Amino acid sequence: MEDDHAQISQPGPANGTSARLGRVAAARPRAAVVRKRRSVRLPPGSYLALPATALLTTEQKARVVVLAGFVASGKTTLLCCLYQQYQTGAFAGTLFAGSRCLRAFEELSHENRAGSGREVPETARTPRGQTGYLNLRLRSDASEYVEVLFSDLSGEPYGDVISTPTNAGVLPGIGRADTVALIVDGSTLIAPGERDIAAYRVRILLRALLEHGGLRSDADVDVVLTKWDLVAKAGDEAAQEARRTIAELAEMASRQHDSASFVTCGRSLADARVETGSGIDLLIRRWCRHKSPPVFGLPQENVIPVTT
Amino acid sequence: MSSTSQQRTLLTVGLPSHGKTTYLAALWYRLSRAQLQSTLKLKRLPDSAAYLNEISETWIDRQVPTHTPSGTFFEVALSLETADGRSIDVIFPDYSGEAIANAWSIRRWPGEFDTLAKRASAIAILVNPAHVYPASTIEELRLPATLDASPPDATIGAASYDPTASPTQVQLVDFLQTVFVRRSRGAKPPVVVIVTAWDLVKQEGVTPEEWLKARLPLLNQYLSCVGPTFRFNVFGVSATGGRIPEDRDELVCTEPGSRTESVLSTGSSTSDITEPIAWLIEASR
Repeated sequence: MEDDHAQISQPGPANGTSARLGRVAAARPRAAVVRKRRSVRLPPGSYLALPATALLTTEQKARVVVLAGFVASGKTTLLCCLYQQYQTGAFAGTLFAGSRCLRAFEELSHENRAGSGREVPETARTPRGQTGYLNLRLRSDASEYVEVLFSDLSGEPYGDVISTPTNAGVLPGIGRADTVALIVDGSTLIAPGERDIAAYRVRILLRALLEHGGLRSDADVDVVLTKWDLVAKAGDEAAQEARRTIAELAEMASRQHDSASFVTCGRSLADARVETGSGIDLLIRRWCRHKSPPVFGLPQENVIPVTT
Repeated sequence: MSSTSQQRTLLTVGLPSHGKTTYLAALWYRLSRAQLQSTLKLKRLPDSAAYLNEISETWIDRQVPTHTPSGTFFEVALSLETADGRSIDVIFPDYSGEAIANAWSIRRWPGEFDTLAKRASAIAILVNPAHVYPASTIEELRLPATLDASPPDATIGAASYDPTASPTQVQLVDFLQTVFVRRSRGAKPPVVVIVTAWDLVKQEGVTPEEWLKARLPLLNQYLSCVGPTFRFNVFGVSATGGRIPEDRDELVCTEPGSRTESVLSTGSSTSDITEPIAWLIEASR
């Protein structure tokens, strides 16, 4: 055993390994090493907490995008869809350059994947109280890097803001956001009786964010309609009404901020004319665009700070 | 070993059953036969070659060398000479694929492996196309025509998330990111992706570079974006010359050194499977 499978690792300190490597290089051409030293804990790959994001925002000039929307409005599905686009190649003029949250993205994507056993894709609910961020590091056509931090807060706090507008000021990340994306659930704008209530609620949410959110003056406030497949399936009248609603919201936001409206579909199940991922490329192009001050850092290597 | 020799530690990794040990066995056979043309030459036999003999004899007999047991690894130190006459001492750690899988699934790896990750001069990632787990969505697997014709059953729930079933390319990107994080802010070591069992891919008529872009696009994007000074390359390697055990009888007529094939990223081919290692040594100068 000693000749062919010598156990040469030593428990404990790192200098044991140094000695081992030195010995291997000097004399031992081959050895079987049985693990004795303690294992090393690796970065978790989950949501980023605020201290980690602070490092990214200062060192890497990260862009913070807060997705603001009610429960089940499609915030997480939109993020999962965005992540999934890079699984098949470049997207919206950008390449995937890394993420510190791959495990979180994978867990969120699980019920959308063929291996999940589901026949109809789904997105797991974001737990209430979840305040972390998901990040993507992207490289543009111009070889510039941008670090994007997405706030994927559960929807309940936004519901609370309707009742208590001043709560908008304590929403995590809202005051740091480079972009606040107001997520409007397209499925709530279909039925004539319900859509007026839904539009009313989302107008109040937007107004609360604008009046009490403490938004940066240079923050974009975008309006993002989700679940376009359901709206399209409902017919032209519903589609026109939904477009009119988000245009009105964007106009409201544009009085104080740069604003644009988008129609998106993170997962097309209802209408085969609507492709999964439609509209999301435009979002990424906007959120990664140059602004003043510059949003892109200098080209640099893919350094991801350690958190163990 | 010569005092003028340079030393390289090549971190050779792959998920379980992706062909690390088979490649090492074929590589050793190539190096040990001085008559075979190869970019890298073996300067002298190592003091102990029992492990190399064991896996190579299995390989010569057209069998798959035994899977490296979980929790152990083998280190092979070889004195090599490059095409331009430089002496290089190369250490190949042959680590169980579970170490990589566990890094993803339980977010830990062994202390010894951590030391290797920090010290590695270069990294070779082996990927067997037959064992690539894709990132397919439910929608992608459903035919468009059936979207309205036969509604799927929405009542079928999802199985619990199993990290070991995550897409291969995600696990490999995560692995590389983790290695780079553990090495702090120093230069990133060059990486070569060795697509094993290339004989199975050849019929597709693609180059290794095209294969990586098509089958592991996330990994390809990531490698392209690591940084301006970072270097990576892709090779296709056939270490057995066919499927084992299906093609075992046919391979008996082929001289072992002729079974192997190394395909460069651009598509040109040679039987010299030292090429990926020679590239890594050169890239890590």
